[in-house]
Amino acid sequence: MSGTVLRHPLVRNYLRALDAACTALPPGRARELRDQIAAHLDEALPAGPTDSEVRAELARLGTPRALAAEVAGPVPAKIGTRLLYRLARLRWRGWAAVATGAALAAAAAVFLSYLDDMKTTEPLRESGYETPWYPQDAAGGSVSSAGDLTQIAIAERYGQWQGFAIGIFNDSDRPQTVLGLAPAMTSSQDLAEMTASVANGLNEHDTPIGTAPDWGLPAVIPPHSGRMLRVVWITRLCAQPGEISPLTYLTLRVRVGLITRNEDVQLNPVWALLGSESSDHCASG
Amino acid sequence: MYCMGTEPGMTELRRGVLGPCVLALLDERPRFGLELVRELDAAGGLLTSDGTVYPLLSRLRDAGLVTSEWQDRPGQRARRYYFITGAGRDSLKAFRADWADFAATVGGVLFPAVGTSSSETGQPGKEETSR
Repeated sequence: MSGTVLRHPLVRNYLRALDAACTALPPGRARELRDQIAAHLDEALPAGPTDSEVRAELARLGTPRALAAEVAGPVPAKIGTRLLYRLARLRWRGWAAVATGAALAAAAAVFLSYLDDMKTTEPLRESGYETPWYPQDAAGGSVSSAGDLTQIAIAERYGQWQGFAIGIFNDSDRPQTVLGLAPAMTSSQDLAEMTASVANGLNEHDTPIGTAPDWGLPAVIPPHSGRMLRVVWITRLCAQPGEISPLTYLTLRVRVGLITRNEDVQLNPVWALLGSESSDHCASG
Repeated sequence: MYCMGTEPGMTELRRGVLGPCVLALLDERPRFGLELVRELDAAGGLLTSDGTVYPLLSRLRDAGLVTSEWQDRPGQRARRYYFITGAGRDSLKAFRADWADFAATVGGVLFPAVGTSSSETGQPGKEETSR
């Protein structure tokens, strides 16, 4: 082959189009057709052909798609077979793209599995320790039980800070970071300015009263470990004297790995406020 | 517009006879691809496009009717030459026999014999129309 014909831009474009049209053919058959067509052009055209000469010869040859269809015959190969032929024809760039795609797909699968694992991580739970935070509440609290439920009730002190401390435990294999209370809890008007904090250095059974731990957030609860959680608020509950207003659960914002979610921590004993005469002004308001 | 030379039936007919025509050319002597294309082109009306000869040559080779090999003849460029095989000659012989009968049959239908009467064909014959 002289090579000058095959370097003509129109010839090169035609052969590229032929390659593209033959990707669904067996590689050997596609290569043979390309060789035959290249040899044909190389001999049929003069050296240094003009564009019009090349166009005329290419028009006589037929379109690359028609030639590929002629090789494929009346019954095209099945989709799976065509795919295999395409894969067999890939060069290193193609294989690199396939390998990259496969690696990305595998990474995505691992990542999704990881996310799913985090979503299904067992949430924090109360570890059973619960005590009023303020001494005046601890002195006046009453404990009652019904079935499996225990209730600690203290008299509300309208307009004053009240709260409790509980132990929370992380049963999962992942660290869980307490970020605070869920917005639904902090927006309560009855228990205004409700905030939560975790004691660093105290496990879930240490008595927080009388100690001076470092309370704060965010706080990491290591796997299979417990911490003390303090919840305080300003009571603005308009309960009738003797009326019980229970708080049965806390909703915490917790980060597990890459995700942040709400976790409901069931309280048992249930924390309850008992309406007192000091809230009488609600009726007049 | 109806065009006899390009309608699908003719394309299929060309496709059907092109193989035996290639075998007939190779039966004379081995030829290379472009040579076959040029001679079929020169015969007129056999090729829908020059490129179709090459897939056909591959099919004939797969069927064992032709073989091919590269030859570097003195004073010429290296070319792939095609040779007819024994099976190819048998196939060509059978086709030639069939074609003679087939062409006669088709010709008899397409070009009824002069002098056919209207009573035989149900169509006005030359004798009647000339009156």
